[in-house]
Amino acid sequence: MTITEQHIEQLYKFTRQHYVEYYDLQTELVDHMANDIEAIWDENPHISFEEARDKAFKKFGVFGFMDVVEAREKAMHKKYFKLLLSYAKDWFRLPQVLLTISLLLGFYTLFRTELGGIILGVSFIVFFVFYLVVGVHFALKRKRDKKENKKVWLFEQIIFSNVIWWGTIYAPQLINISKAFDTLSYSMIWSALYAILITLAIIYIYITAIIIPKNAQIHLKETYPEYNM
Amino acid sequence: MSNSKLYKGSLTTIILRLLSEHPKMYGYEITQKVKELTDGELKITEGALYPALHKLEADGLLDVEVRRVDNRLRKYYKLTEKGTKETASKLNELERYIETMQVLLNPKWTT
Repeated sequence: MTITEQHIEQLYKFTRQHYVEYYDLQTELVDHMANDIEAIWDENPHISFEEARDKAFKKFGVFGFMDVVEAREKAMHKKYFKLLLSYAKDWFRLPQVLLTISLLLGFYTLFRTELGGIILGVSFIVFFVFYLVVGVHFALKRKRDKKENKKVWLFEQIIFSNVIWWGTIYAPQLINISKAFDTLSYSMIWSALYAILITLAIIYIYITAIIIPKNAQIHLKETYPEYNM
Repeated sequence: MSNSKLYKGSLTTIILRLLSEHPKMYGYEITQKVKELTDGELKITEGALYPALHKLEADGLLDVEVRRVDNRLRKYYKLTEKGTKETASKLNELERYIETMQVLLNPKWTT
């Protein structure tokens, strides 16, 4: 007995029922289960598809697919971090490094003026509003994709979730940031520290919320050969 | 054979070794190959195999290829250049470990 097209559909459904949300992982597990079911049928042709499927599933252990999903998420986060680092490195090469230095010096000079506190406070608010707008945009896109039953790719989820979550984590910090407005100019050390912080934050936000999402399709095709299949 | 803890540490080496001898393999094929080579003595569990494969892929040691086989998509793994180098070093490491274990298990007592 061999696995039919209909069985494959049932196996995809089975993986979804067992908390495998991502299509890339579903595909690998469906093929594994299908191979095992066919092997089980070779030994015992009289058992039903459901029985053979449950036998194959049991081999994944008491936690079912959970270990595989967790490990895959961990591996993909690692991949994302590597991608982030490779983009970040560009900012410390010519000609971008000149822009990085200009930002550092520019912010340092501004923080030393009497408007230092206001500039810091405004910068944080701008970051927050930006994350909020981009985050809401991505969250709506995800909702739309779900409604249209589009395939969910783990790496894509990581790319867009990163932006959505940052906005949420960042919000409570706004209370502390309001204190910045009461401050006038900063000392040399604090000006330098804030200049480094703001410059790094700009680079980070630019890479995670603009560059990587913009190049998402390229990275998804690199990660998943099956992306266009 | 109660070998779950023993093989856990060497699972990566087993995968890399198998892939160094085959141009590409898929997950189920790896489990079956190990079973066949060891006459069923060693069984790679599904819950351990895929996390190991995905980690090797994220570390850049494995590359992936997807093909339509029969009525489904199949994901194949193959060694990258970095993976080939790592295989040699991992094998060396494991061989030295086995040698050390043999010395410990069969000590030549001096009188």
